[in-house]
Amino acid sequence: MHEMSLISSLLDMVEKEAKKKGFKKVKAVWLKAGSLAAVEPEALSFCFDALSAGTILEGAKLELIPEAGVAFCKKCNKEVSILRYGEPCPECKSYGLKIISGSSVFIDKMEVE
Amino acid sequence: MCESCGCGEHDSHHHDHIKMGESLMAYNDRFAEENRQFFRDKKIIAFNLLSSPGSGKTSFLIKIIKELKKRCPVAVIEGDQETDLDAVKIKKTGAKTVQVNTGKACHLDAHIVGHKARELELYDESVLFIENVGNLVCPADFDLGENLKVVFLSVTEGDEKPLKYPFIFARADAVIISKIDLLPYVDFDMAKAKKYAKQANPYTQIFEVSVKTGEGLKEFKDWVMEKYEHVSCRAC
Repeated sequence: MHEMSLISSLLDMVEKEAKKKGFKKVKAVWLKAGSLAAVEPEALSFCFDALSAGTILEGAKLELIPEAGVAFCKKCNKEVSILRYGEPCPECKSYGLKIISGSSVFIDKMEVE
Repeated sequence: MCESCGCGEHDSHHHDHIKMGESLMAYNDRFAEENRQFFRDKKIIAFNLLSSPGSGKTSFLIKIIKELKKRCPVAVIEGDQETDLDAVKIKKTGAKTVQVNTGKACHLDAHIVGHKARELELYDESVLFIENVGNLVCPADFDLGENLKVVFLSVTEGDEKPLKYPFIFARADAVIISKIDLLPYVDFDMAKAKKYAKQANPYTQIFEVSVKTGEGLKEFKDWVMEKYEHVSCRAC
């Protein structure tokens, strides 16, 4: 369950940011989750609740903004959107797309006080 | 009303929005980049070995180390949830070996690998195998700073594995189909397995291997040596 690792790095990053900017409480945090990232939204929320207790993130709202997977198809010579790894190009059906984006999870923004 | 969040606290605005934009993998990836530099400086080639538990990674390693160590120094970082059983077995080959127990974590990360790589006091121009924790999901996302990823698939697991775990197979530079001596006893369609692995990554190299009969070991060793020479000769 590497969602645990993702949430603990989120905690680290938020705590560092809090020290830098001097806020005491996070009310909400928005994560951009690529559809190609090996991340289960439910597991992510579960780990968030478990790990945020007693931290600056306790009680914060976790919002996931889904992000489409984008790949480059050499045959069509253009960008196409895909939902999963291992899928063929939706247009020409050839395999071997080069993933361009949608394989990571980013902290997009936070609401703090 | 607050324009950015619609919270209705425009007049007494006690909160702020902070734009971030950093990847949650940034922490790991920073260490991965450090490891890559460390390996580059020492002209080491590192392979990240991934698979389900029980695919035969350790026995494969023992065989391949015996072949490789005639040509170059070999070292192993051995990842398991618990015990040092595998490290003890591998140490007998004479390769520098260190065990990592991940405990509750389901994968190796670049931070621990960086520590262990330094602990090993690696020779320059070594081949380093990092045997990841048996798991086809989480380790796929963690860059360890390796040069190449090798994914094992034993014939007892079924030919559809690359379809079921496309993330890891999409990132595999090589796929080792292991335990092929068991093919007569299992319903494993080799052509299908290869087709699915190539769908996930058309550029992946596929090796059919049996540790019992020795089949396919030479081909894999030659592939490792080809990659090794490329890395160890970079500055010559």
